[in-house]
Amino acid sequence: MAVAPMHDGFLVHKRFRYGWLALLLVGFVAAAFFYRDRLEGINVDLVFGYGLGGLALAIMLLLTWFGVRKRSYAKGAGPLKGWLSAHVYLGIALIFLVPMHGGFVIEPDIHGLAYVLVLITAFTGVLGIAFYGLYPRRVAANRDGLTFDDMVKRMAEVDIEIRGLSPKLSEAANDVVRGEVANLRIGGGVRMLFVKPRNRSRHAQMALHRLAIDNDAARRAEALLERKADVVDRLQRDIQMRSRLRVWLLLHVPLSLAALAVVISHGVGMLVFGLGSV
Amino acid sequence: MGVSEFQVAIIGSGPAGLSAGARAAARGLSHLVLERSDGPCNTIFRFQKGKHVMAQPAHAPLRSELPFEDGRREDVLAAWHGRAEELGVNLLYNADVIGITGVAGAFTIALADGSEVTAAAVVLAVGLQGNLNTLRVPGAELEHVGYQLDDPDEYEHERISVIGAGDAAIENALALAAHNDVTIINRSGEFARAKKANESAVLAAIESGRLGVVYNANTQAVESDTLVLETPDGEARVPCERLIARLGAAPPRKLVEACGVSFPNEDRNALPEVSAKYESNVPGLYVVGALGGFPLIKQALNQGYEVIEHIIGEDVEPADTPLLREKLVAVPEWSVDAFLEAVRDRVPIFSELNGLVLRDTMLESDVHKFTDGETVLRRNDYTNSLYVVIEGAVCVHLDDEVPPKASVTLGQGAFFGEMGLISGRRRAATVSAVGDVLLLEVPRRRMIALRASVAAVRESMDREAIARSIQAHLAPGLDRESIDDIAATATIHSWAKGRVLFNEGEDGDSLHLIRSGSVLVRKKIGDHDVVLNYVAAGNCVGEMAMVSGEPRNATVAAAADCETIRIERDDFERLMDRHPSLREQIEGVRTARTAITERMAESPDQGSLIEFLVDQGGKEATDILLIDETLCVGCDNCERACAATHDKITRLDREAGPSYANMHVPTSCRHCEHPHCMSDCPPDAIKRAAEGEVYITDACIGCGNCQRNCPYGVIQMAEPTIGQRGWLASLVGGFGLSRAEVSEGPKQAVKCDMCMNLEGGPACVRACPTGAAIRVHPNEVIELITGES
Repeated sequence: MAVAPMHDGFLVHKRFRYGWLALLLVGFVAAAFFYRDRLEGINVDLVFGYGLGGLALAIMLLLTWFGVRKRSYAKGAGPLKGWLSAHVYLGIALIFLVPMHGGFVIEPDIHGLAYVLVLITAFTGVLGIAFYGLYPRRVAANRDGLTFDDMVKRMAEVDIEIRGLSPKLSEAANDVVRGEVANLRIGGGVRMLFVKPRNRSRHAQMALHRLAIDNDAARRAEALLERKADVVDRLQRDIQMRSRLRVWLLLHVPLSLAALAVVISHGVGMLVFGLGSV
Repeated sequence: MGVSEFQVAIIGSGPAGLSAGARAAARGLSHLVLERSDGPCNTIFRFQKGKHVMAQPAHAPLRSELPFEDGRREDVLAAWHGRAEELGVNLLYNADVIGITGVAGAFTIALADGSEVTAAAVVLAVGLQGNLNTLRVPGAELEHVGYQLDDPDEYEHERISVIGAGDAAIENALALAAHNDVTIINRSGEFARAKKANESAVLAAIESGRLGVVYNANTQAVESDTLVLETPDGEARVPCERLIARLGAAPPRKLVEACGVSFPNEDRNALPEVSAKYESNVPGLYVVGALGGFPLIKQALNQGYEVIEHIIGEDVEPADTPLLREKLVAVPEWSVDAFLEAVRDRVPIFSELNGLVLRDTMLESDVHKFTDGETVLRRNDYTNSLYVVIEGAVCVHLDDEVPPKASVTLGQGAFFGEMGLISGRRRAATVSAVGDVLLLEVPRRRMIALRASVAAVRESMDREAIARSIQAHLAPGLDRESIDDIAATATIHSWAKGRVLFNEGEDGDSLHLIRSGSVLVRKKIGDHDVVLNYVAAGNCVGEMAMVSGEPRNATVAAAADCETIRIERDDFERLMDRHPSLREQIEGVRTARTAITERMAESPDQGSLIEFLVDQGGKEATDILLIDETLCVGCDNCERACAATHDKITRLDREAGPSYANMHVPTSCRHCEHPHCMSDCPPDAIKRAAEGEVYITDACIGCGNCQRNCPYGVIQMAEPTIGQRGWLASLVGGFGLSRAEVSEGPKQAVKCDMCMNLEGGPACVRACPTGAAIRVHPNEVIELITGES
């Protein structure tokens, strides 16, 4: 349902202020790049090498500073949302600026490595934007007003009730219930980022159903397992989605630091050894 | 008549009497303290065992031979006892005074045992507690009926009934319930008379079944093992092996009158009139303590000291005079006495206050002097004190123009600021000085207490407030003469949350101007009860039927506890005739409301969202943290920002709290119009800043009242922490690098202060990377939803 439009996401922040800024920047550089042969009296290598390189490095430093700004809670200019907005759009701009700086040439050396690392970092960031756009509403819908603890508590309540039924259940039914408790996995592991673990509660419920025991306790246990299986589904989806919301940062942050290090080496190298050749 | 035995006789050995005795002993006066029971300080001795005694009022200095600090009943009594013995206070126990005759210099005090005591001066310090109200029903004389509870641990496994709904009854019932089967008998349907903390505690105990309750019950008779009650459902018989009736106390009028002291009226609770030197209408006979109108222990102690000084003939100024003089530093031409006299003579709402109440009021108030054109208070400020004009005049700006086009001048004796006081909302108008003006600013707490205890203050304020509300909200620009007669017949009504002001389909015979709280407008559409609108203080409901003449077209119920001014149809017609633009205005409102009704009827979900927000504090919040679930990535940077800026303890719980339609209301302070947390804070540690932030100062004693009183669960008790974590440490994650340490101190209440000391607004909102978290005034949200502006 549409809520009154009060919230202003980081993408639309200040009517796409930083999006427009990035677009303008990329447009200007691209125009200059494609008409570089017609620019007279300008040393193209100097401008696109040192000039654009310097600009890209400045942007990278600004993007990395986001990590610091994010954690300086008491002070710091403007809301963090504005910084993220700028971070996102300027980061996307790098995807276009860096190739133009390199003349669309990648070679297997430190310059090429810097090129690749910056691009991969930027793309992991884009992945993050996609996740941020996709998952929050899904997480909320999946939770349906429950907190994580609420869901775990619900599961525990079912467990306690099933345990109470145990004396009234057949050996076979008890085996199914014990197996469920022993094998149930809610989350954990890298695999679950991609595939949801099997819902053992659902399996156990179906196994009980197949046993076709006509007894009140067994039917109650089946109903309880079904309820638990629903919660397990929710929990697994919740963990998967929330993990995805975080895991891309585990790539993005180290890559960005690596990229910055390599870019600085590349820059120092160019200043020391390259300046004479221009 | 011979020479009197004593220079002064003091009747009663409570705080006032004992303090007087101690001072008399210290000054070497021949004296005698007459105590009816067999030990001193019977009232305090009869306090519940271990009860914490507070040295209130905290701002007043103590002037007594007896020491007094906050502490357990036992410690306070032991300290007094020790000091009284040290000074050689002359106490006579089991001395039941039945009357006093004679004149100043030669009083004769008659005792119940037939003996007599003569004294040159008499101090009557008998208090009220010696005259507890008792049951007047058959069986009241039975042995298991009591009016006091000393040690609740004396009783176990008994079926006990406690009659009463005040603090004493609740405290007794709760203490007894630990080891007994206790039922509390309440004559009314609620416990509203008690302190907020006691009210919540007793309701919780009833809810959990630890305590039984009978509401709306009148005691009919006491039998040996049963209490007979009359209830709306008929006679009820409660098994009862022990009965404790806490029915309050009244002045021992018979005794006081037997001493020749007269009362101002026939009211059972009336107190004798005394001079500034505590002298009654009988020269040489003085009245101090609760009987003189001052029930607090510290005041009684001070008066005991002062009265002896007066008797000696020392021109002692009251203990609070130096403090009062400090209040007047800005106006050195005024003496304390002259100022107090001016307040009483010139300010009608205070004219009936007795001298001591007036002094106490002034102790808590501030005196301000403004010069021509200076701003006293600004529209939209969040202050909530009341101002009275002592000298000069002020101009109330009715619009935002500089200088104002529409304004009202208030002269000497007038008061202003009452709307903020009542509604808890921002100031409705700017007020500036006209020429030099002298003002007394009375804090909200004090005014609330005065309004509650002094009928004259309440009535004169209400009458004036009604007229001003009508002028401000319905007929701006209309002169007061044309409003006063309508205001005179308008009535103020209180509505508990959920109560219906009027129902759809009823005859529209009146309208309600909401002066505090807010209401929800509902309508039956098909089978659904759809919320159409939310109307806050300062607006009207029920005016549509006034102009259309049709029955009510919607049901209006209180969204929060509220007060309304009800104006009858004929009066409203007269008002519209006198102020034709009101009719147009109402027509305009009607058109707008009809449009809203249509819009809201089409999307009932929006109405549900309004209801959700109102329920989550929208009805009383001035600021609410809202998280858009479609934007929140769950990074908890908001909580980290809060903790980082507030002693390492986050004041918000992002995940907790309900959601509706992707709108999540986390557990975080709403900064209510009338903060529940403030209502019962013993050290008065919870304050409201001018911008509306409700915050807790270091004066917090960790009692937890505010935590219990907050309906939204946003206050926590935490040990104060010291130390800071640098940004580098937190960047690395802070493993082992944290320098934050938990101090040894007692727990204190902590809550959101809206980052009032930080530039750039609340840290939680500033630290939200995606823009999911915002802080807004709930009315803004509701207006966005309804499309009303």
